[in-house]
Amino acid sequence: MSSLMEIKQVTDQHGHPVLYVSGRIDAAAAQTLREECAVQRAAGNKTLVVSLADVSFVSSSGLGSFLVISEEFKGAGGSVIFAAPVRSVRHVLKLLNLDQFLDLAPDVESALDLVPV
Amino acid sequence: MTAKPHRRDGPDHDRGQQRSVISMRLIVSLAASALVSLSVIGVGSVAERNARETLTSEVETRLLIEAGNLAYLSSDALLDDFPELTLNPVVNEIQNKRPDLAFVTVLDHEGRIQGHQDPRRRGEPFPLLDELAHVETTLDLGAGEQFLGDDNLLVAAVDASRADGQLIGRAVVGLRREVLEAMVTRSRLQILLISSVLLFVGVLASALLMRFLLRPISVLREGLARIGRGDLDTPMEMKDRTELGLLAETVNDMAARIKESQTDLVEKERLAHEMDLARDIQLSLLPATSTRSGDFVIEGSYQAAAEVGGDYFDVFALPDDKVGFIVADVAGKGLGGCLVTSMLAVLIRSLRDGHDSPREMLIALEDGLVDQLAPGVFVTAFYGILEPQSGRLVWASAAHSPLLVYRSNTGTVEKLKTRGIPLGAVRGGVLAGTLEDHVLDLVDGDLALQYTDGLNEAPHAETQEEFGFERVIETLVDESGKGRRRVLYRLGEQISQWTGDQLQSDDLTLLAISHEGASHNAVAKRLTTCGSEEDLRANLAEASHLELPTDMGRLDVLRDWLEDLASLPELTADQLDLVETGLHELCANIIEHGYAGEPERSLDLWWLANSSDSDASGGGSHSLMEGHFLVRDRGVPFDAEGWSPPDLYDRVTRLKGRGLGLLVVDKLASDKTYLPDTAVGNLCLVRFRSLLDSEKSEEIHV
Repeated sequence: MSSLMEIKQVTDQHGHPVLYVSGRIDAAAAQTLREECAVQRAAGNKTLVVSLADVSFVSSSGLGSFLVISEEFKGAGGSVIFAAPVRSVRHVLKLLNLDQFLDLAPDVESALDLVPV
Repeated sequence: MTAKPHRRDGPDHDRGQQRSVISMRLIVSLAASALVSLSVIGVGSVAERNARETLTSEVETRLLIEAGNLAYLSSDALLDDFPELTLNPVVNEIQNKRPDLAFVTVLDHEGRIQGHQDPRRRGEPFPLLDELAHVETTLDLGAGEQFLGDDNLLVAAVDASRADGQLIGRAVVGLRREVLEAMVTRSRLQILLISSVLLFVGVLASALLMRFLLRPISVLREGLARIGRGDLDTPMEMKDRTELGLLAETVNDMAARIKESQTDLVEKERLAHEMDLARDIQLSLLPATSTRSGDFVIEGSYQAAAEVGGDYFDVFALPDDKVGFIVADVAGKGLGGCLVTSMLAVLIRSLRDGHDSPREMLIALEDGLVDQLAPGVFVTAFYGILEPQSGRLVWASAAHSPLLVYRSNTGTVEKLKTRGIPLGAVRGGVLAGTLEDHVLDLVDGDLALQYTDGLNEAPHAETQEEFGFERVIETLVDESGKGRRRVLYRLGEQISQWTGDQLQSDDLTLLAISHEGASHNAVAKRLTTCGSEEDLRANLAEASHLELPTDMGRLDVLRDWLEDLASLPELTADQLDLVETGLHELCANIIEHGYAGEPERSLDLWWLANSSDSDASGGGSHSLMEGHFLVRDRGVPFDAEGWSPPDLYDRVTRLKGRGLGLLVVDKLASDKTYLPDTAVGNLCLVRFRSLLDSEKSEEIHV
């Protein structure tokens, strides 16, 4: 069952970066994700789309990292949009009321629509 | 003519077409012709044989008469001196008259010719007589008469005598036998001709007669073939007054009866199909499984009547974590009743979220239904709204069966009646004045039972006595303590025994609303009494176990364990993800804080499936609520009292991104008991929430 988290970066036609995350986000993977997002912020990207479509499991550390990343981008006047979480992840986000603090989108396309051009 | 072998696999009419048929008319005609032929030939041959005898007798008679006459004439002439003067003209005359005679002569007493066609032969002897032999004859010969003959001649000789009897001569007449044969042949030819004509006419007449008489067989055969092909509408037209006509009438009657019973059968099949359809619709409207919400389980059971009844029940989630349920009985069975039930189901789905009051809901249901109900059709209904958190049940009843409530603290049953009238029974808003909302508080172990009249009115197999409320109440008192499944199972079993083999006349619907928070506490209480590792292991002998290393990187083995748990209820992948998440957070928290990341230690996990439930029901659906997870560690105990959920509205908290693990466990678990520092370590007993609520978290807020 163990599948390490992988992150692939794709840039859309307007130059907006999208991080495609796959696998399980446990404590170690959450740290990696935070670092990757910090790199994106340091590169001057104000907004970031993170696709969770292939993430089967998010631990509380992962959820915590979503909050931290989101707050860090907001602090810099930008935003992170978490796109296409699977049903069980959506359930936990809703259960913990995290949907009030995170920007979520049902899929990457609608996430990109929210990004200012 | 040979018949081909039958095809055993083909339909009957194919056999008829492929098989060579010997015509019965041909057989009968041939047989009749043969009989006629035999008769004619027999008669002909008898006639032919008689003809020869008759002709011979006739010729002999005539020959004898001829000879007799001549002898008589000669008796005087022979006494003359010149007998030839008399005899020769007589002989000549005879000879001329009868050219078929070979000779005619008169002899004197010495055997010399005295009268002959050739006068020159007078006085000659006539030796021929001595050369001829006597011939047998059927005639009675007188004295002096004799028949002589050989192969060619037949001769009659008659003596001529004087008056005193003295022989004076003899008259002899000869006939060539060929004359007789020619006569016989001619007669035979005539017989043959007549026989042939008779034979021809007889055979032709019998063949025609048989064909005519047996013609109805073709009509019969064609008629039966038509029936064989399924055409029962065309009767056989036969104007025949014989037994065949009678047979055709019988077959026509038979076809009409088959047609009648076929029509009946088609009608019955159509009705049966309609009933199946109605039953399918009705079953599709019923909730499939039990529903758990908080400490409550709401579970229904339904047994269809032989005829489709009008029972309906449903359980559904309402806003604010409430659960609604309805039990209704439409007065009317079959497809009609089923259609009303379907309308009811649609109305409930559209109205339920907008009505907090069961009374208002029932009034709204009547408003929606009343225009659709035929006169005389009405619906009794019970509607309840349960708040699982508080245990409060608000309900209203439109003339439905009394609500029965088992109280665990007293072990008694309350029977709650109302004065509500049925939906659609009296029109014009009368219903509203008869309904009111009633409130009921349910505590641990309480069980409320709603049902349709198929329960209390179930007739006894022999006496037709109704099952009645007292027996239901008795069962509730006896069985409620053993769980709602036991109650539902026992009531179903009792009704089955009560009604015996007779067809179930009405649907039987049961709905139990059961407060089952106590079972978690009971398990927790049992665990606190474990004084040693042996005690614990003995208590958990039936439970599935996992030893988990205190390694954050190895927590993914939880998933494999969960997937392999045979006694875990069947869960969707999403539900399994959530259970995994809950256990992962619990274990991660213990590893991080209890063991401070200390490696080479271990945690123990058990899955305790509830056995009592499955015993009563004989299997069936389970939910996550039907068991508990137990986590045991020997690390630093967690300060459960001191824990409070993180304040996510505080940005600083969000920036830390910590403290969410126990929040996840707290939200996913419906019951949790933490027992720190027991003799067997720190114990955490968790029962996960029914995932019914997950349906409401579909929206994604952007």
